[in-house]
Formats: sequence, C-alpha cells, structure tokens
Amino acid sequence: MDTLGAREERLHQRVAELLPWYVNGTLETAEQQAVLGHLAGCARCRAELDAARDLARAVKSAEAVAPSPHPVQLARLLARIDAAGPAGEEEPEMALLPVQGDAARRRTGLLAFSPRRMRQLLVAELAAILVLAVSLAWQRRPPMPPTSPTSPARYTTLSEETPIVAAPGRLPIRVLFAKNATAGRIQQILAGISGTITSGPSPAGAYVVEVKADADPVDVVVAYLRAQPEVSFAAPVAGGG
Amino acid sequence: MPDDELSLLRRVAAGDRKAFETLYHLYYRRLFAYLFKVTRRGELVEEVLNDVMFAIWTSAGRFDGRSRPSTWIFGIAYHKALKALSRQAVAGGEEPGRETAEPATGEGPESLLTRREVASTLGKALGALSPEQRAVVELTYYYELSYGEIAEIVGCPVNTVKTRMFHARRRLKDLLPGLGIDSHTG
Repeated sequence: MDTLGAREERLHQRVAELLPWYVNGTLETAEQQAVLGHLAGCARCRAELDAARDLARAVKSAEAVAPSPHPVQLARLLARIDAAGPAGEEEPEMALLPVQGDAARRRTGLLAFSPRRMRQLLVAELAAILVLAVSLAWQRRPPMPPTSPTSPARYTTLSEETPIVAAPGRLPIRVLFAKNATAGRIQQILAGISGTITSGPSPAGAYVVEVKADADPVDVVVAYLRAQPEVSFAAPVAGGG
Repeated sequence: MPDDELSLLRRVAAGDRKAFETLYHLYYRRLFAYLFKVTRRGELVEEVLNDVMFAIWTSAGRFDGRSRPSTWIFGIAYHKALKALSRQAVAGGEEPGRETAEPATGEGPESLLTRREVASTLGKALGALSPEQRAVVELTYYYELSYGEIAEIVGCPVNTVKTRMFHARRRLKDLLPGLGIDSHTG
C-alpha cells in the first residue's frame, strides 16, 4: 500500500520530467494542467522550472552559424547520386532505416564497392574544373590588397613564421582573414574547404587551418581561399603534411 | 511550408533532381546548424550533411507521411551524426561526441566564432554531454519540439527521451552554475 508521501513523490517525479516541455509549450492540455496544478504546491518544481527556463533561454540564444551551401558541395553530392542511379531504382530494403543507407550504398553497382575511391575520382575531376575557374578569376584580380593601410608588410612576416606539423592525413594552410571578415563568413569559408582552425592567431594575426590531405589538392584549396575577399593571405605551411 | 516539403519529398522519391536540389537548398543551413549542435565537430558536419542528403535521395520513397518531413529528415541526420561520431571515436580511441578537454592543438572554430561568454560557457557544458543527451536538449530548447517528436527523431521510446533530458539537466546543473541552474533543485 502506497503512503501519501510516496504517491506525491511519484507525481513530483512525473511533473519534474515534463518541465522542459512545459517550458517549450508543447505539452498536451491535460499534461499542462497537471503540471500547473502541481507547481502551485511544489517549491522544488518551481525552482526547477526557473532553471529550465534559464537553460531554454541560453540554448535559444546561442549562435547557430550556418553557411550557405557551396556550389562545389552540391556538385559533389549530385555526382555521387549520378553514380548511385535514380532514387526509384533503389532496392526496397535499402531505405528501411536511415542507418542502412551506407550498407545499401555498398551493394549498388560496381563502382559503389569502393565508394571512397569513386568519390575521390569525381572530386578530382571537379577540383580540376575548380582550379581552372578559380585561376581564371585569380588572374583577373589585381594583386592582393593589404587588409588595411596600416599592415602592408604582413605577407613577408607570415611566410617566415615557424613551420607547423599537421596531424596525420591533414594539410596545414596559413590563413589571414581580413579585419572586416565576420564570424559567419569565416565559418562559411572553412566549411567550403572542410577546414578546421587548429591554432592561431599568431603574432601576425594568422591562423593555421587544416584540411584533409586526401580531399581537394592543396593548391585548389589555397586558390579557393585567395579568391575570397575576406581572406588576405593563404599559403600552405612550409614543411606541412 | 510542410505541404511544400511533402510534395518535394514525393517528387524526390520519383527521382526528380530539381526537387532534390530545392530540398537541398531548403535544408542545407538547417541541417548544418543541427549537425553542428549534435556533433560539435565542425570538421564532420559537411561530410555528414552530404550523407544525410544522399540518404534522403535514396530513401525518399520510404517516407510514409505519418510524421512531418522535417522530423523524418532530422531523424536521418541524427543517426548519421551518431554514426560519424562513433567512426571518429573508433579511429581516435575516444568516447563518441563527448568533449573531455580543450583541443590540444589550439582554438577551434566554434570557440573562435562564439562571441558571447554565456554562449561559450554553454557550448562547453553542452560539449560535455553525450551526443544523445545533447540532441534531446537542443531539440527541446532550440527547436522547441515535443517529446513525442523527439522520440521519433532519435528513434527511442518517449520515456528514454525524458530520462536523457533528466540526466542532461543534472549534468548541466553542475556545469552551469552561472545560469541559475544550480542550487535550486535536489
């Protein structure tokens, strides 16, 4: 036989579990009323509610920086889709669950038996096109302007900075972002090359960005970086990789 | 509009590339932010996003319309994100998706980009949760989904969602004293 205290404790527990969804306003009416009724007489739950509201406010206000898609990424995806065949031709069991996608992909087509290799070939082709496009654009550009009139000698300093050894399979590139580069744009640029900042800023203001060694050729990545108005300097790190 | 997304998915299921590209553009930024929130690994996001979109292309015919298209897509993204984290953990011999320490190599893009102190403190605290707990916290508070929808996305019973949230709140209470999440509850 339950004591009153045990029953109350269970009710308290049930209500406490619902508080996050009471805060986000998604509870059914009956649950919402149960929570409201319990809150009136439970100081612990009222305190918990305050905490849940604080957390909700903090999570909601955290920056969600997301770049726009880079055309090269969509091109890669479409190339992968072309290699896999039309959606309608998939085996029925392939798509039962999201997690089965990878295994199923391995079963489709000759090339798909080594999808990574295939992707590398496709990426290499796309990269070649990108090199051409970027180098054409690059040739039309005037010499790189300094970020600001007060820092004209930065490039020499940057290229003489200490060599850095990247993690295995990663290539380090030294990058100086323009002073007016926003956080969102920097993240977009990094996403465009699947790069990660691993150190910086150096005394000269440069960051080391690492990219996968088996992805796009480093000269393509550097050319892409240099083509961004928010990048003042980009060069492979001496001795890196 | 959900109806538009539904018709897009139907067209994708029929092999309509234009519809797929529209869906890609519609979801790219949403998925990017979501995948970053779940994985907290900037370097993984692009690759996982590509896998998610590829899975949508191959699996759109299996979408039965019982849930919202976004629930179904976020479900795929959740599973792909966990898979990528565990692959990375196997390669690196670490616990998947849990940040135990600051990266030894220096400042990561997220700390570089996160301007406000509270966001940075919160980011670190969320990074200390398991990816499963983190997903429930973000889906509840950032995306404001019901526990039922979250259960569909993460593919587990609603009680598991509630339990994960309960443990996440306890952990965050320890990690975020400045947010008023400490000392209130027992």
